[in-house]
Amino acid sequence: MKSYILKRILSLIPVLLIVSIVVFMIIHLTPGDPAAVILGPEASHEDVKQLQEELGLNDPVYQQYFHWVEGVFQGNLGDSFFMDKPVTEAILEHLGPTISLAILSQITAILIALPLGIMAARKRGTATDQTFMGLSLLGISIPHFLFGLFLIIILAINLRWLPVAGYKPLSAGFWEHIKYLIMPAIALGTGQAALIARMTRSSMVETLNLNFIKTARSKGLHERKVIYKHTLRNAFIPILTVIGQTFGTLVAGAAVTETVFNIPGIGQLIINSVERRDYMVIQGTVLMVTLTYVLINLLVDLLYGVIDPRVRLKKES
Amino acid sequence: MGDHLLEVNNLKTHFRTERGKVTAVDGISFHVDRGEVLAIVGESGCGKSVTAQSILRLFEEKGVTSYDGEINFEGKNLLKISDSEMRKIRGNDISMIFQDPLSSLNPVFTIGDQIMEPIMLHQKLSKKEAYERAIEMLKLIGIPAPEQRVHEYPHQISGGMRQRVMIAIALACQPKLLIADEPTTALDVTIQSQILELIDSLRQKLDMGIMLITHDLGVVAQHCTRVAVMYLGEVVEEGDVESLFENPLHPYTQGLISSIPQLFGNRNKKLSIIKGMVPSLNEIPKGCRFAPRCPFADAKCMNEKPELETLDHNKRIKCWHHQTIKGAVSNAT
Ligand SMILES: Nc1ncnc2c1ncn2[C@@H]1O[C@H](COP(=O)(O)OP(=O)(O)OP(=O)(O)O)[C@@H](O)[C@H]1O
Ligand SMILES: [Mg+2]
Repeated sequence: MKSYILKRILSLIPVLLIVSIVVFMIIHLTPGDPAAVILGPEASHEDVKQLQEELGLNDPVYQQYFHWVEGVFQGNLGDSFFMDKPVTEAILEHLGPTISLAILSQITAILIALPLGIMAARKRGTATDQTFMGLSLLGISIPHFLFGLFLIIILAINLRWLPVAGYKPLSAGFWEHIKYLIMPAIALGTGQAALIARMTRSSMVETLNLNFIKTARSKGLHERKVIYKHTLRNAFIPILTVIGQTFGTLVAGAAVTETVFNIPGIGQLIINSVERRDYMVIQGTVLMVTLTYVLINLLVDLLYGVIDPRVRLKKES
Repeated sequence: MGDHLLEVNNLKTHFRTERGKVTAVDGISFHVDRGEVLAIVGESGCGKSVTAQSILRLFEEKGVTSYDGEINFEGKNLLKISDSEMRKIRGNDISMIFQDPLSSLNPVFTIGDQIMEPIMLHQKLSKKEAYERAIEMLKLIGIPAPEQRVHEYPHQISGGMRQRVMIAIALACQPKLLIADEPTTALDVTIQSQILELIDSLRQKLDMGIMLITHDLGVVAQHCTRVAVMYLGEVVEEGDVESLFENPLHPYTQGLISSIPQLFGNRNKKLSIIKGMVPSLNEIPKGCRFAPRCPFADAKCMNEKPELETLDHNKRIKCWHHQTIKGAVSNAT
């Protein structure tokens, strides 16, 4: 397992290198001179020149890159001109809501998807199976902001069970915190649930046809044990892959939902920064989102090794 | 009648498929006694595995598979008992070794876990006791260093070892009946005979009845007491091993026997392989099922179904012309 972990981690180095170059180039590939854009149309030629100097925009590009990477390693992503604070601080302020939302919606998704997918697989070919799979198609095709608006109309406006929009941090109390996140989590989670459920079904169906399932039954095991112990564990790798992928897209995909529900998360930060052309913040958040994605993938890879001894023991045997 | 360990009467197994309902096993009857080995032979696709798995009702999926007939085991009709009663019999009174040893073990659990599973389930032993039983079983089936092997996963051991582990699982609760579906086909010849010897010695020790499914008539001659020959979902001939080899009555049995590779004598002699192919389950011939491929078939064979007749010396045969065909094979060779 140790060598497997090490190999996974080493394989991240080229990925991170490419990510860093692409993210760094954001500033240089967008049209217009960054200094001029930051200062706005009324700025004088001298001011622009001076800012260019301050930002190091006149240095050779590779030098700027190394300078930037050095900063990243020290947790310094530059400063936001509009918010007048370090980018790291701005990101940290917006991170909490997004993490809470992502985790809650992923839990919602898994809690819906696994039982439905497993049930559909057990009853494959029946009306139950077709109904669940039809529902999941619906779940994939409805845009989640639209679903979010429906939820607001029903649960918040008509029934008045939940607040329409907004956000309270965890420090305001657990229920206060969750109350604001239930609807956005459901809105985001159903789409993910649909994807996970479909993968669960197909992977379970495939595994149920394997020979060792008959062996498990022939031992006299209860069907519950055959399904949850022998089948699910073997079927889980593709399911875990989809869970990882959906979780990664959640962080980015939350932007629209955060806007609909007025949650001050990373999504909102990105949208506002793009509007203001706040390059440093854009660069910092994109880097952060990409890193999260890469780390989630690493985690998924490591979990493969935990689930399947063939992955973990490949080199040693 | 009545005191056999297993007695199958007129068993039929139907599957609903996309192309309609097929009857893979169509009215077969046979029995297995304690301490004896019944061989089931026949070409690929004749329904041997379906027969085996029907006995443990392993196909049960509501609306897809249905069974007819009787499977009597120790006075109970296995087709009538509840699911939970069936589970108590599986792996405990009747065990099964499957056709493909390489894919019959679960890749994500250790060998020890998989052997301990039925022991803990049926014998209600603690984990520690079950662990000791598992080690004992591994020793019994001749796996070296069992204390290490229990912690290994299936992909870490060879095919022959995996098949031995399957046998250990099947025998863990000392079943009264062992159904072995081609337990050795995937393995090389030396391991094949080792495993068959092993099963044989365990049969003597435990007085188990064994139903051994195989393509290999050499194995039948060496290890079995009686044989049932299957063709297209039916038993066409049944009898004691010696009489069946010395005096096969059914043209299909004769064809099978004469297609055994000759180890001695003229190696270049052409093997007489039964001509034609097994028809699919959707196009079952209306008279004798073997008629389209049979060298002796006439109009009666094509149109009328023969019954399984019982002759003396435990011999049963399903053929219109067995009396006239008798001895034809010895004249031909
Ligand atoms: N689950 C199923 N659904 C539909 N048809 C099936 C099913 N299982 C087996 N059959 C059909 O039943 C027939 C008998 O199959 P079976 O596996 O019993 O053959 P076999 O005698 O064991 O052959 P082999 O020697 O190749 O193992 C085949 O035509 C097969 O296609
Ligand atoms: Mg078979």
